[in-house]
Amino acid sequence: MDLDSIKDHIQQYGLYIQLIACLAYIWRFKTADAFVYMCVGILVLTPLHVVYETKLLALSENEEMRSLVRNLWYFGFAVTDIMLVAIVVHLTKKGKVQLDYPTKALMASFLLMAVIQFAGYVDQVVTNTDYLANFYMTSIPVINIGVTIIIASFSAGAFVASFVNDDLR
Amino acid sequence: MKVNKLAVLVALAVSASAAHAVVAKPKLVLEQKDKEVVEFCKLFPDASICKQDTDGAGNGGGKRPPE
Repeated sequence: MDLDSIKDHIQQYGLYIQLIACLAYIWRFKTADAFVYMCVGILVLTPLHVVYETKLLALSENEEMRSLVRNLWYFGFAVTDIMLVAIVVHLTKKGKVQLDYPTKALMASFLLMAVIQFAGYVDQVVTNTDYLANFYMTSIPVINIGVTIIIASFSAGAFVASFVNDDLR
Repeated sequence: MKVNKLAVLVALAVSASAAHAVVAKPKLVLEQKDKEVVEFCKLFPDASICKQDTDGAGNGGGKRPPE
């Protein structure tokens, strides 16, 4: 198995890794903190993106609709990414929960993906230059994998640290 | 009735992941990158093997919309 296929597997099955990490964190700490809100938000957003993408691909089979699909593709993903971050910020403020570093990193990842989506829109639809094609096709999977790594490593780290702390008491 | 916030979050996470498993039919990106397939699809873009499919990742998985 080479590096590319490992990368593909992490991206495609990342949601299940995220689910396991998120449930383990909730089970261990039994608290609805900022990380849990963000984690659950990502778990909800990903299937929504998949459904959205499937519908757009079906719509694009009609050539007359392809222009609309190109517009909806970039804007839909960008707007939902921003909405996810806005909802989590709102929930943490409402619940007076502090934002931790992993949550901030996850939020930054989604905002970055939104910026890349807008840049992709300008590049492919507005200016029709295609300068960013390779960057777009590489950066989104890399950020997706990064999101999975942040969730999995933070959960695992917090999990291990809590057991070590329990043993020290 | 007081609803346990954590239980709601867990239910949301599990049901969304179950929905994802039903909706997404993961297909290796490597399969899509196969050189022969790419060449074939340049000649016959409407062939069923060339139809784009979701790979189950968020943000379209970095795929671009059909031209």
